[in-house]
Amino acid sequence: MPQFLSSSNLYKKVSKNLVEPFNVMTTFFFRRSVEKAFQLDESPSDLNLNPNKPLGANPPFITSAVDDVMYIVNQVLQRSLATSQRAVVSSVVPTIGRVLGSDFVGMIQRKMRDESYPKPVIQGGLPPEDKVIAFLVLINNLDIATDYIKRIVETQVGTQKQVAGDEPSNSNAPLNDLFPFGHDATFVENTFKAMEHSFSSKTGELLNDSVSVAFHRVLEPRIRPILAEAFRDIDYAPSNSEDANIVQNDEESPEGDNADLVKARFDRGWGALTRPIKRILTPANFDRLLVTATTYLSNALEKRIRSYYGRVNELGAVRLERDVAGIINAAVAGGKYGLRDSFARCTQMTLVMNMEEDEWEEAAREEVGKEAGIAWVLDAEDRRRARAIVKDRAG
Amino acid sequence: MDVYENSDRHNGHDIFAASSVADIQATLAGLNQQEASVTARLNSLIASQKDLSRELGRLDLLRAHLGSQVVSTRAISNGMLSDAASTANRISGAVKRLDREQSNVRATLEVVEQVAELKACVLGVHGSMGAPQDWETAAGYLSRASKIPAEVINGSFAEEIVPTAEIPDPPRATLDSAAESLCGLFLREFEKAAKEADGARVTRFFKLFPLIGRSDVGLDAYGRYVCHGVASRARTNLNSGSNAQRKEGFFYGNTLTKLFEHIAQIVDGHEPLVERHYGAGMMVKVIERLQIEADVQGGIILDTWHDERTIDRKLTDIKSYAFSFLVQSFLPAQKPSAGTPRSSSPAKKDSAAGRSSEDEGVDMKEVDGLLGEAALMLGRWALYSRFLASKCAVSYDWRSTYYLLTITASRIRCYIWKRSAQLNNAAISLEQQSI
Repeated sequence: MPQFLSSSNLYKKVSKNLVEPFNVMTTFFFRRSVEKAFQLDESPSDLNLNPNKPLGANPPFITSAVDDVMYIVNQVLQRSLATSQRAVVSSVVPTIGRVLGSDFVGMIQRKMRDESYPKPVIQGGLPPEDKVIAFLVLINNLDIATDYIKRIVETQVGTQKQVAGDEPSNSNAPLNDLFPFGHDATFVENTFKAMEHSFSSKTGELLNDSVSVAFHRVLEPRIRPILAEAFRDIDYAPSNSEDANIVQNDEESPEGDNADLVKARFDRGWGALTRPIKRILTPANFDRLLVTATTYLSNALEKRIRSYYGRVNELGAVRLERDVAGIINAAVAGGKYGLRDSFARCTQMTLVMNMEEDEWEEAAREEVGKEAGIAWVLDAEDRRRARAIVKDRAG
Repeated sequence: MDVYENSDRHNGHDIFAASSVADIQATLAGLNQQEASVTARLNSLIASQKDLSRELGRLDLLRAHLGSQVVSTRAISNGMLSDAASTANRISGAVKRLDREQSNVRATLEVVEQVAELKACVLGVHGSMGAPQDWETAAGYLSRASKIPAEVINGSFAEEIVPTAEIPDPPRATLDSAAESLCGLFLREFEKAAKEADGARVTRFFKLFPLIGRSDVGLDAYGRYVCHGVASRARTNLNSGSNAQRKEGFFYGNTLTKLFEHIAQIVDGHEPLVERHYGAGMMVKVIERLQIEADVQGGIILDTWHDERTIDRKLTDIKSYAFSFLVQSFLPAQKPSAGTPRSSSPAKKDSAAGRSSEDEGVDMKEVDGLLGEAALMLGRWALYSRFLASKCAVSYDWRSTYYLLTITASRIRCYIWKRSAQLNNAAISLEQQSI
């Protein structure tokens, strides 16, 4: 900017009469809008956890405050950019970030903690349905808001950088048009990025906490009963005569029914538990929840396999492997393939139990990290213990 | 002696120590032998002396020859070469004198031409300022006269030659007074044309100022003229709005926009004219001048906006707004959601609604409107700054000036180096010729 312009009276007057009130008013305008959005906040109607009843609205399920606030964010940012004043952007954008971080995220956190915490009414029971739904919707709020902010910043800053990535000077052409002097364009871009970053780290933190609460309060208490129900009355040490019986029975009833009994039972229980939640959560949130849940499920399953110590014969071991694999398939169905990795210990245990003698001798000698065929997650001691679960092979 | 002693000792015989005849005879024989050898050596020496004296004689002869050679050489050098050298000296002196005379003649010719030009100009100025009132021609003559070096105009020769019966003053005084009176006249005419808003005549007189060497006066008058235009237009725009219009959304934003647009139009439209007649970079001075007017008019608009929209009141209201809903909900466990969480939420909503009606002191729609108007004005201001910056960068960029300067300097250095090499060569060949 030429000297005579930056030292002119009008320049001073603009920054005093326009920039300062603009910044103060924008701060107020935005914070008041956030406040109003929460005063008028409405949850989506007609949500339920009954898989047979249709949901009364369309996904994503979030409260109206998110849409309202994000609309205002976009509007305020656009207006601030349109002024082409570095002094405006450097004040408004961090302020928006601050209000979003403290008031917006804070409000949701408050609501999670005070209004919708999924707490059972009776000790040991399950939390009431409306609490669970409200809590899940709040988790969605965080996820969707993060996504919105990311998209808003991308549109404002211009996304050419990620797409082309060739000449950095061309990357933020719209910003360069608006801020031609000095390094203002880069400064503006960095201010926006910093705001997005601080917001997403704030929501990310709360997301992790709230997903873990949702798991502990809603899923965890029901996983053990589901497993118990799935393995009810299943005998992994069938005698030969029973075996013969079964063979006989099999001739009468179709083999599939009996064979997949455990998987079918588990699938029923697991589906009843997760499907209603999946309907309400955003895909990203359901993935987060599933990761937590599968880790827990894997531990529970491992304990259950261990608890069969001495009650499994060779034929039973084959069945056990099949049943465990069935449960894993049912549990991760529809999720990411990587979820299977959390069950690695269970699969390897049943694998060890079903090894031929010569295979086992080879496997027993291998050490973690130096294996030839299988990438073991079980160490040698674990493997020996797993092998010993099967009766007659103990020791 | 040596030999004698040696042989004497060798023989071991001393005549004075002889004690028998045999001794004496032996000594005598030894002496005889010595004498014979000495004689032989003397003979050989005498023989060689003859050769030596012959050689000496020959040398003498050669020296005599040389002497005569020296004499003749000296005669030659004295007689012939000194003549040649002095001739060469004379020649080069004559050449130099000739050169000087030639350049003198040329310079004189130039001065004469310049004085003739001066005379033509003075007469032309006088003539065209007289009856025909042809200002363009007069200014053109003055511009031509300004190209004549000052020492010629002020020189006594010109003072002798140029004045005529009609114009008795020395040329400098004539030219100065002509320029002075023309300047005053142009200024009057310019301002009259400006007052009558006669664009063509404004341009006509504006173009004449640089010709009579009064660019600063011209730019000044022109600056006053455009600033006046900007000021009056801005005032009309601001005052034209009825009260209802002023209340309406973007009145001040639009007024400010019109002001900036007007200035931009002037800068864009007049730039070629100014740069052509006043030289590159002169528009920046006009822009700076305009900026002062923009400061005043823009300041008035902003202040009026500030007052009429009661910005200060709004800011006070805003600062006193307590955000009670947000703050209340952040208070820890205002209603511990122990047993009856359901009943707490409607209660909360009620209280929130009650508060929001209290807080109507700040009208969000109004704030939104003000923000919109402020954003519009800021955006226009940014556009305007960018436009002026680009205009100044073209003609006034110190970086390009610096670049030009370095290039010129290196060219000059290169030229000097070449010239000095040429001069050296010329001097060498001159010396060779003179010898």
